[in-house]
Amino acid sequence: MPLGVLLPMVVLGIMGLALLIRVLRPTPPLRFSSPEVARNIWDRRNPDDPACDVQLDAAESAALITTRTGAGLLWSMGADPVARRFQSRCVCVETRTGLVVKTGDFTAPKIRLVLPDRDVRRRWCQILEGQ
Amino acid sequence: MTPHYPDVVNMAVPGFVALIVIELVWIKLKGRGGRYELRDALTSLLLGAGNVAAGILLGFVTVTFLYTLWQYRLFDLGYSVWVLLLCFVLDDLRYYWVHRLGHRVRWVWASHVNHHSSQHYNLTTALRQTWTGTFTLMMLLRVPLVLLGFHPAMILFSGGMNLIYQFWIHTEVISRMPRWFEAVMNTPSHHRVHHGRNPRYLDSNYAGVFIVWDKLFGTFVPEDSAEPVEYGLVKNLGTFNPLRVAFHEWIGLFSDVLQPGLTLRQRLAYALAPPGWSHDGSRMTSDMLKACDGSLKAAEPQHAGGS
Repeated sequence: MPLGVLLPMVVLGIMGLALLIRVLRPTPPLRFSSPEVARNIWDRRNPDDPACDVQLDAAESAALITTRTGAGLLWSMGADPVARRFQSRCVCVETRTGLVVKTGDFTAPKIRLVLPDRDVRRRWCQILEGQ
Repeated sequence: MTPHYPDVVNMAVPGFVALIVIELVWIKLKGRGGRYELRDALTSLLLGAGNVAAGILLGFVTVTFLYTLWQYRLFDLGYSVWVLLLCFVLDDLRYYWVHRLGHRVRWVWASHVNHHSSQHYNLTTALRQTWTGTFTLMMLLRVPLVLLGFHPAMILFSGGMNLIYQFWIHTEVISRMPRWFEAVMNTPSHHRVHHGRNPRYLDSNYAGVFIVWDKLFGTFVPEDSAEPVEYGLVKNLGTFNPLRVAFHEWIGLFSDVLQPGLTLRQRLAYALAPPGWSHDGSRMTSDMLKACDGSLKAAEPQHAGGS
């Protein structure tokens, strides 16, 4: 197929579909409505290292998980959860509304947390950077 | 004279887009049959576009290889419809083994993993295709077909038709097809299982078109309504960046292979053993995950009885 036909077809197809999904919004973003919901998701993904303590961020889109072996984060990637125990040291950068956690993990490089309370922000930072 | 075989995959692009629109509207109207999330779908679509670009840039490698090999064919089977049908079936058998190796050899998995990297299962997931397939050298599995006398153009056409068939099975809208169809063909139900991260569903249903290959080679697992499929990877990605999705396993593979203090055998195993293999046992392969899951499930009734 000539590039002059293929290229516009692919570009217009992607743009049109993205626009349609944006308008229809068929699936809402994932929110952890309670610490128990977050705990269940974490435990299902980490049966060998279940959660001992769960704290949600203000947007209910992320949770700081403490386990017997350390700490991890559970957060929503659009409509789905992702869980990580970080093997390398994290770096927390404070923003006006919370934290940006730089993980050093190529598959999950940056996580945004909504933590308006400065004390809570510092506590999360200490736990995450202390890994 | 060689007949002209059309570039069916690129020709099918408008059909792919139309079916995605229909699925999307169906899910919105019915409130069931799958999930769509903008960034996830966009990542899938961009990976699909990247696959087309990779085909334009690197497709000549496979084509040149097959046409060179054609000069050394043992037979020439010609171009009849029957030969084409036989070619399609045998190419599907070839696909089964490429796909099985794609899950059992990390070097090939590094290319295939992005197809499994979405936690969604909809028609855009079908387009989440590799950019690095050429580097896996899986074109070698086409050698027997060429030497047997199937023309390279016919083999590539069959591969394209195989890929198009697999598009429609990436959906939750269709629950089950008629029983006779489910028995012979790959279907949305069979392929949902293949995309599952549940331990019992790992490494199963590798078929492209005919599910009979899985039944024949012992890798068939039926969808169990008691255990809904959870889609994605054992360790899901925390990024929608297509570049990270496309290359993350290659980066992981090379950083494992090149780490200091390993023997040559260990370095080779990081590239060629099943995904999850590690020299110190710190990670889990799918076999280990299945064994663990089996032990947990076996222990569950005892717990229930004891409480």
